[in-house]
Amino acid sequence: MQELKRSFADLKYSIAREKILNEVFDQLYEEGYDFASETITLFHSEAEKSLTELTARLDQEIVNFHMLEVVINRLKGSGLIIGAARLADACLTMATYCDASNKQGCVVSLNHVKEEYQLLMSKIESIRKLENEIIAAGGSI
Amino acid sequence: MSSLTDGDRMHVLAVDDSSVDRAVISTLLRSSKHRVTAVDSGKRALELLDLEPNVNMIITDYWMPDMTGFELLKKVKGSTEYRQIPVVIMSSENIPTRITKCLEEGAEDFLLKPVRSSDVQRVCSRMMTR
Repeated sequence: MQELKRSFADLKYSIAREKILNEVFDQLYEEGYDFASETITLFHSEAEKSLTELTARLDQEIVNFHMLEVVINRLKGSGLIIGAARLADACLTMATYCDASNKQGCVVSLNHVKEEYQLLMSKIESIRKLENEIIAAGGSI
Repeated sequence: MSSLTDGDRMHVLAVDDSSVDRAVISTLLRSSKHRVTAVDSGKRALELLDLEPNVNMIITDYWMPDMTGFELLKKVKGSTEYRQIPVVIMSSENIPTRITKCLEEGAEDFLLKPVRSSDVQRVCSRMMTR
């Protein structure tokens, strides 16, 4: 148990140091573990849809930059809700290109958003894995 | 708008196209014992207002497709029936001109996302002492 908790603390520390997740992520747990877990699941589901939509919209010959901006701001907002600071920053960059109707800028920045999202989810998965191990071993989060 | 009763419990209409944000704002409001109806668009918000006369506050995201939170605010404040309902705007962008525009149009407050429990409590307390 000590080992698990130490690994958990180390993981949280490294994620915070890399600014992938900020203190807002921990605040989610103040409303309860189930709430935090459900929120993260909702975020994951919504983010996947948003990224699919962004990719599809950018594939259009005529790009609707207003709608692109709406979707990227939605992703940014929900990222901020779970404390995903770097993802939110990447979304902000893309939103700036949307505002300027710069397709190439949007394409490049969307790739960056996707990279940040993949990194974020891999870290969240690691957190959840350790949480489950701690709970299975009789501990609490 | 109905006067506040039911033991300091408001009926809040939460409007946000993000399911994550709707879930979080609903939870924060319910933690403060308020009743929440959450919808995903300004259009649905207006439909609900027609059906539910006892909404005490609207809290809406700014950036939404089809009808922004600002457009919803204008429609509410332009309505003789609903103009008394306080409207709070939420946004992840801290743009002073946007904030000013919303407040000048009649928004009660402008909250920056991520909205925290203390923000919700502050806004609700103010509404209940109006």
